[in-house]
This record gives sequence, structure tokens and C-alpha cells, in this order.
Amino acid sequence: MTQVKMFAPSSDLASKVTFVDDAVNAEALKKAEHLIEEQEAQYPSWLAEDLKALKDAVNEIAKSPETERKPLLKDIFKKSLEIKGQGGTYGHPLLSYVADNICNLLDSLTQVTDEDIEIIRVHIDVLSVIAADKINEETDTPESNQILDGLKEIVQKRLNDLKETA
Amino acid sequence: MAYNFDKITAVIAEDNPHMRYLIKGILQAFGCKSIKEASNGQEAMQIINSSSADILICDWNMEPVNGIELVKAVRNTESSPNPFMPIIMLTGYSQHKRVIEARDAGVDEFVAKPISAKILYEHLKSVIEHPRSYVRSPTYFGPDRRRRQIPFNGEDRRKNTPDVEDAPRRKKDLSESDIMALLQTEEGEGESK
Repeated sequence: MTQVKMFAPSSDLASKVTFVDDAVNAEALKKAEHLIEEQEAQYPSWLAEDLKALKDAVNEIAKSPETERKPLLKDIFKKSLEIKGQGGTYGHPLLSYVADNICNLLDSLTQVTDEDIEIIRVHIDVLSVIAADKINEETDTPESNQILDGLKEIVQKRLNDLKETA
Repeated sequence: MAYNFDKITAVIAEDNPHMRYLIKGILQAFGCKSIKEASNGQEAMQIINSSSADILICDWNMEPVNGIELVKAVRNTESSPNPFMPIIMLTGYSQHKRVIEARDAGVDEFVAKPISAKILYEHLKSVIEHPRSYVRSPTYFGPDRRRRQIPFNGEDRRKNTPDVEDAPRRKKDLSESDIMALLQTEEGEGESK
């Protein structure tokens, strides 16, 4: 029989937290959201750096032979994950959407083909377009939706191919 | 219910300085005065070992020690000062397999970035209002991962659901509620009785 021991929930944290009224709570949330808004103004410059790093990493990987590319994906994955996390946090959910697509693809690759590199490049191009504010939540046009849906389809197709060949 | 976190010590393990600054600022806005910062799991563990931290908020993708390794160290290292410490993982990962991996490492809460002040507050509130029982088995130590028994009095319509193959393809990404369900509604290895 498996030896399993249960422990009652700890109340350490609850015992150190003080209760306040809802007005204070609303004020605290407002203050926190204000901090995020303040950082939003700086985000475009951080994003520009991230996009440059992404492009450089993709150029680097493209130069390498196919068999040596996999370890080089780490930097692209890391930057994409950061854009995914920060984009939506700082008011650009479309950046998170596109970066998430890259992460989903990279997470499944066992080797990196030229086709994969092209898929990543297309995504970076779209991220740059979003960064230039040519596509945003407000300019939700059929054309922009077509681009975003198209990216999702490209990645899904590649993932399906990978599953079939696995 | 509203809370002030002025008496707790929080550790943030996040390698991105902007995100770390943001999380720190949000915690300060909630009244938290004692906040320790680490840029990776190794630094975080050193802080945890040398201070009386009450809660850990950590990222996943960090080097040289990542968030999952950090969570396992807090939960399973013999010298860990508080294996029961509430841990909230804030990460860009949101795929099903990642949530399961984090759950099996022993996180209490899993938050897929992007984040907002409200989302972080809700998860802090959750670890206070709904602390989980802990389980020690030969293969796992951490919050109880077993299925919650939730009474259901409505009509059982499961027999009317379409076959799996006919159902629309599932989205790979999980919503906030999907993640919460995964953390608590699938039976974890080792806790079966």
C-alpha cells in the first residue's frame, strides 16, 4: 500500500495578513494598475530591443546547419516568451497572441528546418507591424484578423505535420 | 474581502528586470513592505534559506536554476526552511503539459502571463482563503492535487455529448479557469488511496 501522509492547510500566511475595507482594496488595485500604465510608456523601447534580439537570433540560426540549430532555439524561445508575457501586460494583447504562436511552434520542434525559420520570420514581421501600431485591438479589421488567423493556421499545420511524422 | 499584506515577506524570482519591478510595485501597492528579489532560482533559494519568507512568486524560465527546480527545492530539500510555503508561478507558459509539470513540482497557483494587478491579487487571495492540504507520498510533496468532490444536483448530460472525434479541436492554450481546474481536479500520482 502506498504510504501517503496528509498535512492540514497552513494558516501562516493568513495569520499575517490584515483585513481592510473594500475602499482600501479598490485604492490599492488602482495604484497597482497605475504602475502598469506608467511602465506602458516605456514598453515600446523594450519591445524594440526584444525584436532586434529576436531577428539577430533567427539570422544566427539560419546560418547554422540544420543539425546544429536546435540548441540555438533557446534564445528565440526566451524572447518570444517575454514578449508574450509583457505584451498583454502592457496593453498589447496582439503581441502576446503572436508570440504565443511562436512559443507553441518552438516547444514542439525536435529539429529546425528552413521552413520553420521562415515561419518564425513571418511572425517577427507581424510583431514588428503590431509594434508600429499598424495593427492593434482598435483597428480590428478583417485584413488584420486574416493575418492573425493565418499565422495560427500556419503553426497548426506545421504542428500537425510534426505529429504525423513523430 | 480585502487584504493588506503589510506583514508578509514575499520573494520574487524573475529574471526579467521590468517584470520583476512590476510585480514588486504591485505587491507594494497591496501594502507589502518586505519584498526580496532574485533573478533566478539559485538566488531565490539563497534568500529563502536566509530569511523568513512567507510567499514565493516565481517565473519558470530562468537560468541557471529555473522556476520548476526552485519549487522542487523549496518543497523537497531537507534544509528548506518552509516546505509548505505558498508558491505562485507567474509564467508565459500556458500549455496543458506545462501546467501539469508545475502542479507536479508543487506550485499552489499557476498564472499564465500576461498579468494584471487584479489577477495577481486574486491569486494571492486564493492562497489565503483556500489554502490547500499538503501531501507527502514517496514520489511527491506539495499541495493536494486530488480531485475535489463537488456535489452536482443537475441532470447528467454527459451521455449526450458528441464523440471526442466530432468535438471541435481543443485550443492548446488554457484559460485562467482551465488552469485552476487542472491544478486541482486531476488526480495526481501518489495521492490515490
